[in-house]
Order: sequence, then structure tokens, then C-alpha cells
Amino acid sequence: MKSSWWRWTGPLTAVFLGLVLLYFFVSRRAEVYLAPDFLNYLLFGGCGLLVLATFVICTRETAVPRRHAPSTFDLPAGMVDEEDPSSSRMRGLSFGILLLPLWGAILLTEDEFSEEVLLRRSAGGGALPERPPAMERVGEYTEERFREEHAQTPSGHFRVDAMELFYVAGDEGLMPIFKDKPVQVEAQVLALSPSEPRMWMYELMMTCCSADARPFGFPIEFDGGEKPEIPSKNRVRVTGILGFEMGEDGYLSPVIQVESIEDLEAESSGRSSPTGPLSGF
Amino acid sequence: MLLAAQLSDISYAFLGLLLEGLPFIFLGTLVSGFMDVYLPSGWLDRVLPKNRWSAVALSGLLGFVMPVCECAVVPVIRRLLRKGLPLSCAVAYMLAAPIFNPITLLSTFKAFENYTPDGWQLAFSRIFLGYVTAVLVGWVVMKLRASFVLKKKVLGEVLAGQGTGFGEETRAAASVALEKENRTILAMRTALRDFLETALYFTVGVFLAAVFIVRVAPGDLEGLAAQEMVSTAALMALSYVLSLCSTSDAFFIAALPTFTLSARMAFLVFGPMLDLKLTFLYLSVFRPKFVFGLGLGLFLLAGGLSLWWFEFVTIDGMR
Repeated sequence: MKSSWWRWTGPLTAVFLGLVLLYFFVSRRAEVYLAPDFLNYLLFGGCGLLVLATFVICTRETAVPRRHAPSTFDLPAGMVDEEDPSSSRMRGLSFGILLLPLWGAILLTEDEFSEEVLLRRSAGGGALPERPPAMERVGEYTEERFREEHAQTPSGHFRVDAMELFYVAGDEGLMPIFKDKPVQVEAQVLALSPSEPRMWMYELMMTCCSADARPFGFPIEFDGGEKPEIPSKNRVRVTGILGFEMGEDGYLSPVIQVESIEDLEAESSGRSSPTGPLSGF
Repeated sequence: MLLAAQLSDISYAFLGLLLEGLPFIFLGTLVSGFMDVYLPSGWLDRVLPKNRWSAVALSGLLGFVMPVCECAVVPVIRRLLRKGLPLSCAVAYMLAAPIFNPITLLSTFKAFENYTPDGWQLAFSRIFLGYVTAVLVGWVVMKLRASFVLKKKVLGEVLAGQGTGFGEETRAAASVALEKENRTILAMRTALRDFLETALYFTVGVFLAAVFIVRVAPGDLEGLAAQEMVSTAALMALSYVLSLCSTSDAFFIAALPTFTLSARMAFLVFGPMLDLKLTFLYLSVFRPKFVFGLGLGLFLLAGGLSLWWFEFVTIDGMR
């Protein structure tokens, strides 16, 4: 009985792993874990594992000579010798190592880094990700081009992208045109400590996956007013006047004097997904 | 509360690495399973030049024919060894393939094209240095005993696969039996077995990488950027911890322009050959002593070659 149970663990483990991959893909939860280019591999891996495991289960009665050294992961039907207690223990340990961390991580994760890790990773703000093709600018940049490329809100604010502002900061051809413009920007926000009068807007960028995710952000100021009570990491829409300042790290950074700030997640509970530098590649 | 936040951070990084790597490990083990059944034993040895030095040099180029990333290559070389590929050639292929392939070439060019007028020069520098490093290590492995390099179990598999463990009659009988309809079944079973075994080591490596990753940020190293030797070593250490995929690591490092080109090149050459998750994947095939020596050798070679290379090569607009 015990032996029979162990003989199913390999294929069933693969079924479990395949279902986990598919769950992350179908539920779109994977979008906060992987850069866009890696998402289709997840679908391929999940489906592939299910097909592989199903095939092995369906052909379990077919005896095929084993052509390799005995392994913890030997599979059913003619490939498994009589179980001895020590190999059973090893097998249990192996499957435990394979499955428990995964299961625990799924239960424990909040699908994002804590504020502490985000702030630590934001250090060294001079490092920028690849400039998306949409931001390529050829030739001299003019006021007219700025107005052509940026739609205006009914209140006259120009809609700009948070990442775009990073490329503008430090670019002597662009900064004079962007400076002092009324702008509207959407991004996530960090509330910072109560003693800090500013908040911090950021977009999370990942190269491969969440492990290398880094926030690219800049401060927003509330001229004379108090900081609003918006939970950290919520997505916000800020309107205000754009300026630039020299940061403590020696890099020029955008800064927005806030006129109004909207907590978009107070309206909708949907979470935005980070943008990836591989998009369009 | 603090512990819960730390566990959540580690879990977030762990799941990211796991979800990224498992599909590629699956792909690698599927290839290895079918290779095990359909690739005739000794075929590779017959195809490669008889001169072992040349064979190792040629094996370093196989990535362009069989492009695989670093997660997928480990189960593949295990099967190739069983099929008679000499150990030194397998190591050269294993180290070179994640760098010396068209996907990595293109992604490196793409990552650097916004930073230099000649991204191709940098991309080709990367695959050239990766190739040289892999072949040099392969030549060193040529002089080592297989029993020093391979785990006992893997060595047994290799000897069995090459005919020294099974009698010819047994192998012929097995071959006839497999002719009938069972080849696919055996290939799929082998693939599943390889997948689970590789995924086990991968999980351990990824978990440890996640623990380190949440404590390290590239900005922590920026103070070292101006010191050529130190920053080269620091970026190689960073690549070891971050365990990025070779197909996209260039995008990460291109975005750290404060570091010298030599340091970033060392990151790009060393990372795909050895990182924390790969250490555990290698331990599924190689003995710990060899993995340690390999790591040390790669660290010195990749770092040294990158520093040396940019003494001679100047890329427009870049240090």
C-alpha cells in the first residue's frame, strides 16, 4: 500500500507544479512576478508538465526496462523496485523540499516587496532601465512636439509617464521644455515616515522576474499642506507642477508640487502590474 | 510583523525565480529525455574531432545549434554524457551554451544599443569572452579524472551508457524491446524523473538566492564603481546572488552605467556560468569539490579576461 502510494508521488508532484504554473498564468497573478516576455513560457511549462505527468500516469502499466541508476524519483510500472524504509524516507524528504517551500511561499507572499525593500532598492537612482521604443526621440525636441505627444486633461494638465520623467531629468535638451509644466502622472506611492513631509512616487521595473524588480521613483511635495493618508504601494493619480532637483545621490530627479492626488485603489481594488523593459522586444 | 514582512519579501523573490526557471527546466529535461532514447550512444564522440583539444573547442560552439539557457543545460549535458560526449566537451558546452547562442547575442545587443553606438561590438565581446572562458575550463577538465568531477551515481550512469557497465547483449536486447513502441514512454518517464530531480536542486538554490536577494541592492555596490578590480569582483558576486537568466541579464546590467565596462562584462560572462541556483543544479551532477574549484576558476577567468579585454578593445562612448 505504502509502495503504491509512493509510486504516484512523482507524476502527482508534476501535476501539482503544472497546476501552480497554470494558476499563476490564468489568474494573471504572474504579471507581478514575471517580466512580460516570460509569461508565455509559464503557460508552456504548465501545460507541458500536465501533459507529461498525464502521459506517465496513463502508461503506468507498461513495463519498460530501466536504463539508469536507481533514483529517488523513479517512476511507476516496472521502474520501481520494492520500497525499503530508508528510500521511502529519502523520497519523502525530497518531495517535501520540492513542494513545501513553494506551498509556503504562495501562502506567505503579498505579491510585492515591503516598503523597506523597495526603499533600499531605489538607491543609486542614476541607473535607468532600457528606454522603451515609444520614448525614442530623434532630432531636436520642441515645445510643439511636447504638446503633440502629450494629451491634456480638461484642467490643462499634460498626461506624462512616470518613467518618461526619469529620462527627461538630466537631459539638457528636454528639461527646459518639461520644467514648470502642469502635469498629470499615475504611479504607485510610498507614504514614507510621518516625519518626512514628502511622499514618493514610483514604477516597479523588472528585467526577468520579481527577484530583480527595482522601483524607479521621485518625490512629490505638498506645498504647505499635510500629506494625505494614502496607504503605501497604492496606485495614485497626481496633478501638479513639474520641476527638477539635485538629489542626495548626486543625480537630477523630477519633483512634483502636488495640486491634487487621487487614490486609485480606493476607487478600484485592481492592482496594476509592473512594466518590463523587454516589452516589444 | 517584521518577520512576516521579511517572509513575504523572500517568498516574492523566491516565487519570481521559480516561476521564471521551471518552464526552462521542463524544456531541458524534455529534450534530455528524448535525447536519452533517440540519440545513439557514442554518436557525439564519432561526430566530434578525434583530437580532444579541438573537440572541446568545437563543443563550445554547440550553443548556436542547441541553444539552451543555464537552467535547461544541466539535465541536457547529463544525458549527453551518457550518450558518450566526453566530459571536457560537456563542461565546455554547459558553460558556453547560455552565452554563446543567438538569443543571448540579440538580447545583449538590444540592451546596450541605447547606451553605445555599437551594441553589436559589445554583444560579440560577450559571446567571445564566454566562449574562451568555457573552452579554457573544458581543457582543464580534460586533464581531470571523471571520478573527481562527477558524482558517483552520475559516473555510474555514464559508464553504463557508454557500454562499460552493460554487456552488449543486454544493450541489444533492451534496444530491440524499445523498438516496438516503448521509446516514447521511456523518454517521457526519463524526462519526468530528470525534471523532478533537477527541480529539487533548483528549489534549494532559488530559496537561498531569494534570502540573499532581498538583502542586496545594486545601489549598495555603487560606492565601489570607480575601483576597477573591486567593482569587477563585486559585480560578479552580485551576478552570483541575483541568479538572473542569461537571456535578459544584459538589460539589468546595462542600466548600471556607473560601473566600468570591464566590471559589467565580467557580470555578463560569469553570471550565466555560475550563480547560486546553478550551484545547486551543478551539485546534481558534479562533486562538491569540483563545483567549488569550478566556481573559483570561473571567477578568476571571467574577471581576468574581462579586465584584459577592455585594455585592448575600445567601444565608442563607453569606458
